[in-house]
Parts: sequence; C-alpha cells; structure tokens
Amino acid sequence: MSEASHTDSGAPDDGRLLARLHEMFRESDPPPADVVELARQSFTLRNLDAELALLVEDSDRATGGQGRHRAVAVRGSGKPPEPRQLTFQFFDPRTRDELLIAIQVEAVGVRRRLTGHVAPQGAVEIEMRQPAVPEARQVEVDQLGRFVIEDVFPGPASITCRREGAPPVATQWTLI
Amino acid sequence: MTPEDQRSRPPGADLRTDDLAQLVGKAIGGDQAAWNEIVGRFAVRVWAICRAHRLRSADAADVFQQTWLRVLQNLDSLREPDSLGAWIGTTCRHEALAAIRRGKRAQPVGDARLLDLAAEPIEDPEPPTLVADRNAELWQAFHRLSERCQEVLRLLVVEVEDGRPSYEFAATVLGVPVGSLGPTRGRCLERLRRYLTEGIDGAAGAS
Repeated sequence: MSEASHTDSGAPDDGRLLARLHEMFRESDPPPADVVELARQSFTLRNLDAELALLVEDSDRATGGQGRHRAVAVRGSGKPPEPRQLTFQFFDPRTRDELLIAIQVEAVGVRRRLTGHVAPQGAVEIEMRQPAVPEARQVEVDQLGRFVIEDVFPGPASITCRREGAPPVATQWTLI
Repeated sequence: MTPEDQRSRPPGADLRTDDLAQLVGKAIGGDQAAWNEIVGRFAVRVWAICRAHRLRSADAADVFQQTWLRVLQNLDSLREPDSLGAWIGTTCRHEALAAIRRGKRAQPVGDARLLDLAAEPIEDPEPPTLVADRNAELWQAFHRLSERCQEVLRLLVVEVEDGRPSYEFAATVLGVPVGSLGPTRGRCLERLRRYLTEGIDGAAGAS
C-alpha cells in the first residue's frame, strides 16, 4: 500500500500528535449544530422543475476586472467598494431558448440591494430564495424586465424566473 | 449487511460506493432522510475546509451553506457517487477561496498589504468558547503555525482511519499531489512540536 511511505517517513510520535489534533478539532471546533441543521433543511429549497442559469460573469472573479464597471456614487462615509456585477445565463440549444439575468449587488449596511434585469424582455415573474428565509420572496418586475430587491440577507441566494410558455429558470446558488 | 457488520466498521469506513450511490439516488428522488445522511457524513469535512481557510464564523457558515446548496443543485448530474466526497470538498474549497477574494476586495487596503494577505489570515478564527484545558496549549501552538501548515494539518486529521491521516482528501481539496503532503506534514509537525515545547518551557511571552 502506498500509505506506508507516508507513515514511515514521519518522526515516531507524528502519529500521536496527529491523533491529538484530530481529537482537539473534534472536541473544540465541530460544525455548529444550527449550521448543519440549516444544511439539512436546505433540501426543501430544491427547485425541481427549473432549468439552471449558470453564473457566467462575476466581477469579483474577473482578474483585473476592477474599474471595468462604472463606479457609483459613494453613499455616506462607508466608502463601499464597487458594486459586484453578476450575469447568469440559461441557454437550451434544442429550442434556442435563452435567458440572461444580470444583477448588481450593493452592500447597504449589513444587508444587500440587488438591482437587476432580465433579457429578453417579456412577461416574467421573479422570486428569490434564501436558506435564511422560509418563504420564497416575490419580486416586482417592470415592463423592461428590471427589478430591485432591497434588504437582502448576505448569504446564498437564488432567483427564479417564470415565463409564459417556457420552463422556469433558476440562477445557480450564489453567495452574495 | 448485518447489524453486526455495521457495528464493527470503523467510522469513515462506511463511505462505500454502493451505499453512497443508493443515498444519492434516494436524495435525487426526494428522500429528505437520505439527504440528511449525506449532510451528516460530510459535514465535518466541509466545516474543516471552511476553517482550514481561516474564515470568520459568519463567512464559514455562509460558505458551508452555499456548498450544500450547490451540491443539492447539481446532485442529479453526479456521475460517480464514490467521488461525492471529493466533489463536495472541491466545491467547498472553491467557494471558500471566492469568499476570501471578495473579503479582500471589500477592504480597501494598500497594494503591498493586499499582496501580503495571501499569506495572512483575514482575521484569526476566534477560539471556540470551550477549548478543553488539555487542548488549550495545542490550540495556541497550532495557531502560531503558518497558514499553509494549519491548512494541511487541519485537512489531514479530518478523518483518521486506522491511525492514517486523510491524505487523498487533503490532496484533492488542496489540488496538490498526494506525495507532496508527507514532507509538508513532517515539517509542520516538527514546528508544532517546537511551539509546544516553547510553551511548556514558559516562553509564553514569545508568542
């Protein structure tokens, strides 16, 4: 077995020290029970009928992407960083059905404000889901496909778009 | 499998392929209990990855949650159930690194400091309220180690199976060859032993 080469090379008491570390983390830093419970409950957030819109652009992930987007007015003295820009895309090559959801994420105090739009335009209903919130939140969309969601908790979020005559589309879970 | 077998299996050894495939299949089919079991089996690993990246508790909790939601969202596209553990691990690492990047960008700092941050914690993870007395020295010594050493050791001891550290798990999560972990482990443990000795010799002021 290849493991022999790992265990043999160490100092004689390496194994004991590793075992002590194992015990220490097991006793002193286990996953918090409430956090594990929330992960279990997230099962109810499955969105079985929805197609997945993938995150195709994230200004926080782009290298050297700072300054690519226009800076917005600085509110108060907190000097918030540039808003984060997210773009989600769903495309079905068979039907050529495509949906783009662009969202700007701003920090407002400890909450977030999401400003977004859906393209192409058309009648669409939007709802947002978060594990910290039991019910999906309905969001108003104007005729141009624009929407604003205030007072969003920081944490994972997913937005579902429901359209006439097309499958619903949900954005992939994203930490905002 | 008889109950006898169940009892005699060491913890961790129950991550069997057929078993996992069944659980994943049930979870996809809508079985909440199967999902609970999956979370139960991998929660310690996922938490260890969050903490190995020295995320603050709130960020660690967010990354933990985000990881499970991503897993849930992609569960039906999982082709190899026996790679579930590795897949969860890399998903979590990916999310943890993204959270660290966002944390850096959110804090306006000088360029030099920004570069330094790569090797520096965003913030010391707060010590858990109940570090048992017998662990206190080890806890302190451990947190004097370099970030890399903390990361590697934390991942290696996630599951000690038959006294053997979890090399494959750590290597997958860190994206390094398994063979590179032995030497790193040796170096890091040597340093940890030195810090422990210093602590016992009363050189507490050195920390």
